[in-house]
This record gives sequence, C-alpha cells and structure tokens, in this order.
Amino acid sequence: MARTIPVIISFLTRLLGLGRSEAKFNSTELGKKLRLQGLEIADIQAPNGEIIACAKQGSVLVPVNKVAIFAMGKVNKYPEKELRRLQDRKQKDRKNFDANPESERRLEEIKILRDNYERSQEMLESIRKIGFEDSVDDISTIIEHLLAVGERVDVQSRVKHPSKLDGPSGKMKVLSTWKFLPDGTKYLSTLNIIPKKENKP
Amino acid sequence: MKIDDLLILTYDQIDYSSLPVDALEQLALSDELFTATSALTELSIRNSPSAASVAWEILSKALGDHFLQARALEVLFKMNRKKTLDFMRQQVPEYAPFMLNRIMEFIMENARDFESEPGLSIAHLVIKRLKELDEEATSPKLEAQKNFLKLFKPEFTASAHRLAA
Repeated sequence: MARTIPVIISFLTRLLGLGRSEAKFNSTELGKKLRLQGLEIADIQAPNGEIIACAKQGSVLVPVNKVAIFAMGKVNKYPEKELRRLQDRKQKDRKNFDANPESERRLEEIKILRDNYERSQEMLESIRKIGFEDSVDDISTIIEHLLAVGERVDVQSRVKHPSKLDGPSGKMKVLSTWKFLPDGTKYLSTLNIIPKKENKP
Repeated sequence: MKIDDLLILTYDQIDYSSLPVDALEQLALSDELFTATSALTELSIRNSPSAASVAWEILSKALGDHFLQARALEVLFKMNRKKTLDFMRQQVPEYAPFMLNRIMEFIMENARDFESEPGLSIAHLVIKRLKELDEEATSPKLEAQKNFLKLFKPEFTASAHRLAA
C-alpha cells in the first residue's frame, strides 16, 4: 500500500474549497435525483486530476458512472458503418488494406468501442431481466446495494466479491472488486454483472 | 500512475497510448473488463509480443467475459496463427451463439486465411456447429450466418479447394 499514490478524497477538496466539480455533478438532473433518493454524493480526484462523482455511505464510495453509464447501457454507440466498411475492405481488397497500417489500427480501435458498447448493453439486458430499468430509482437501488456490499468487504474478500441483487422479478449475481484507499475508504473499482449463462462463451 | 490508481478511472479516462507495456499487460488481465479490452487492443496495435502471451492467458484460462475472449482470439490470430487455429479447432464445436457469431465475422474479415487448409476446416466446423444450433429451437438467429454461408458453404469451398490444389 505504501507504493500507492494517495487519492485525494472529496473531503479534502471541500476543506480546501475546491468542491466546484462536486457542485457541478450535484446540479445535474441525475445528481439532484440521486440526492433526493437520500444518497450522499461526493467527488474524488484521481491522481491524473480526473474528478469522479461517487455515492458515499460511511467509508464506502461507489462511482456513480459505473452504474448509471456502464451498467445501464449508456456507453456511446460505435461507428457501425465505418466498422463494416473496414471489415469489407479487409475481406475483399486485402492487399490495399494491408498497404495502409492505419486501416488495421482504426479497425482495432472501433472494435474496442464496439465491445464496450455491447458489454454495456448486455449489462442492461441482465438488469432488465430481473425487472429493473435504467431509471433513477433503479440506479439508486443498485448503488445502495453496492454501498451495503462495500460495508461488508474486507481486505481478504475485496476481489470479485459475490453478491445477489434482488430485483422486482428475480435475482442477479454481481461481482464487485474494491480498492482500499490510504485512509481506509473502500472504493468500488470494478463492477461485473453476470449474465444468464449460455452453454459456453 | 500505478495500476491501482488506473483502476480508479473508467476505461475511457485512461490514455493507453502513454502506458508502458507492463502496465498494459496488468490492465488487460484485470477484472475491469472495459479497461482490459482496451489495454489488450493497445498491446495488439503496438504489435507487442506481450499481446500474444496475454491473449493466450485470457483464452486458456477463460478469463473475463465473452467480449474479452473474442477480442483475445483476434489478437492471438494476428500474432500466432497456428496456435489460434489449434485453439479454434478445439473450441468451435462447443461455442455458444455469441462466440460463433464473432468467429464468423472474424473468418469473413480474414477470408483469405480461411479459403484453404488449415483454416478451411475451421470454417467447416463453424458450419457444422451452426447446424447443431439450428436444431436447438432456442438458438437465436445469427446475423453473420447468411454472409458466412455464402462464402464458405461446402460446394463453394470444395471447388475453391480443388482450384487451390
């Protein structure tokens, strides 16, 4: 832990009067609604300066976007037509495609966007299967579940910690990984929703 | 930044092009799957030898989810075709619709490498698996199926094979 660069928690930014970004998130429609649901919203500043809005309960932090964006199918769509065009060129005109390394590079970049978009869509699909929607109420419920999980985890159980999320029409397995910040705060670093299994991948 | 600190960020907040290879390796094998997909692809874009070893670790240990495993298969193919084809030969007969769909897309994209052996027999395994899934009434329609069969249906590949010989 000693080699970990400390993350500056929102309390410090507040103490130093640097809480503008927190105010910014809290003034968004989602921020306002989450607060109305009774959630406390705090910001952390990552070592690279990025500000991350988090739901906070005691010493547990859950980044809002992990739920509200990634788990709710809100990752931006990839340029589908460009992907098809590049794949088609690679298939039918391989010599010219290979002559320009930039084409393969772009193809790989778009595939990242595609995979992450589709993963986000799949997470939403799993969430819908247990009766949740991408509504503020349901985002808030999922965040509250994760805050409760965060209270239970310890150093031994922090990686891929399994929990069951109850929805209106079923249960869903969730795996969460938590990082212990230097001051002991538990920060949700990874959220994986386990979809209903096909036979094999 | 240390890996732990990078994992505080979401995948789209990380500048992968500025990271050293060892950091990308660790991120690609992390359980943050959005980030892992991006880090593995960055290794592939750099043509780093690590891309093959990381991709193989993901495939052989079935790490991550099917999106990451499909990506790993493509990355490994770019770096080590024989190993990839051997792996596909073992796995295709059991693939579920998602992976089969990705494999068809991937084979069509690299059609030149699958029009003759050893790739051609993999294409035939895919067709066999498609038929098995078709018989399972629950199987979803695979979007790539029609175009794949157009390219690799047995009568086409048989004549292509004769011509190649």
